[in-house]
Amino acid sequence: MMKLIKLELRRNNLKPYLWGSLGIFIFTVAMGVFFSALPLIDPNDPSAKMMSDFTMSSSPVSIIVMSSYAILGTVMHSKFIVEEYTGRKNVLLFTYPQKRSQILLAKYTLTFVFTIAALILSNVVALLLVNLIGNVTGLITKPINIDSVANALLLSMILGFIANLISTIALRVGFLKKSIIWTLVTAIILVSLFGNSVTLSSNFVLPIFFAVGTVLMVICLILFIGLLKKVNKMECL
Amino acid sequence: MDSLIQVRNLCIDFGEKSVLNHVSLEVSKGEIIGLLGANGAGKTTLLKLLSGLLEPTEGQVTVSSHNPWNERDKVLKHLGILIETPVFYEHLTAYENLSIHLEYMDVKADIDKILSLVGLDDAKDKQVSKFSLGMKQRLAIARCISHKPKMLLLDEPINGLDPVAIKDIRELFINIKNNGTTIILSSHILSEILQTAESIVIISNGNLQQLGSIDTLKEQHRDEIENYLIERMRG
Repeated sequence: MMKLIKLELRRNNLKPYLWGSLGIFIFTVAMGVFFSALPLIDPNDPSAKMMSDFTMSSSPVSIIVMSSYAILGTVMHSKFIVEEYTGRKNVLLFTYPQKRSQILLAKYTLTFVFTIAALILSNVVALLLVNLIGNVTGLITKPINIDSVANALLLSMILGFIANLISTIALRVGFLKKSIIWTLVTAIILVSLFGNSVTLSSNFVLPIFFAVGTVLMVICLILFIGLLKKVNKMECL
Repeated sequence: MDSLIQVRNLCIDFGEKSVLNHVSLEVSKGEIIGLLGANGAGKTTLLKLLSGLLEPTEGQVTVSSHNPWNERDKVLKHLGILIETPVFYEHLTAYENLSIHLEYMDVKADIDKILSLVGLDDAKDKQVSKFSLGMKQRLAIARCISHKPKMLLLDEPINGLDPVAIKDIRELFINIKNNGTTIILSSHILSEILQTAESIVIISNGNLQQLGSIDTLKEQHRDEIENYLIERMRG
């Protein structure tokens, strides 16, 4: 399996996705600084305080980061899986004497690991940077502690997982319709639905995250097993 | 002689359309079979069935005693396949493309030597996206032979090649065959098949029309061989 993942790394150009992650990181820092300035406008508004803390799952920054990585993961799935299996390149993939399901799993794992790792790194570094900028400019008075970093780490893992679940559903729809546009549109609809449901129910965010996450995980598992079977039986017409 | 490929009553339908009807044939080790037929006759479909890229509607196929659809891992490692327009990792070089292919095939080989066999030694570090059609065709042939397969399935392999390259590639095929590799060469160019192959299979509208040695056919039909084969291709 590791060998197949290494081969995927060799034959796919990851540079555009690294640039994409860098873009999301810069955006995260900018949003973090912007939202940390909100309590200065109205110090008595509790929602401004909540928004300024982007280690909280309901903060707009968290939702935007999760949505961005869900879209990034979907673009990677579109390029590595939908395009390759539904285009002319499938003849090449299907003539390797390797289990088709393992090649697919290697492609999926690459995107899964990349998305989670990039999200965690970007979020934690952004948290540190926003705090540094906040302290220097006086926007943030409370110093960062180990709990905030641990929270950011945990939240990033959960967000990364949910981003991957969303992109997996989008992948399956795109594969079914043999269309990259369908893949991306599905991801955009799902992140909009998820983002809205989380921000509308900010009082119950953690239970909602777990409930939605569990439902999504079951759906994804069923869809992914279906995808493995489909690829195994695919013909090159 | 050992039978490397056995096809019995092979049928495949695409929806309502029957593409191959009860085709049966056997291919022995170390020979070059010319697969002739007009466009849309079913040549590519037959090659795809032999490589496990399609599942037959009816009938049996065995390649090296394995079913290509159900035991594709076992079959594919013995096959070198060039079907339709070759596809590559265009942003990588010729060398990198072959290197990745060999890793997937679990084989180690001298890539420089393989590239020189098809006349691409000077282009090994060039990105495939900058290759001409003929260069891509030569690289596809290099990829087919790189893992030293028992059998080559080649669909229109001389597409886009200039006369010099055609001659070189023809000699390469004959050398490979002399080393014991079986080659199935599909083409709609009669002269190519007559110059390279030893036996001939004609497919017309999904039906097997002719199966036999080219020398025997040449003896029987002499100067009229091309007309005879065209008639058989018409069905």
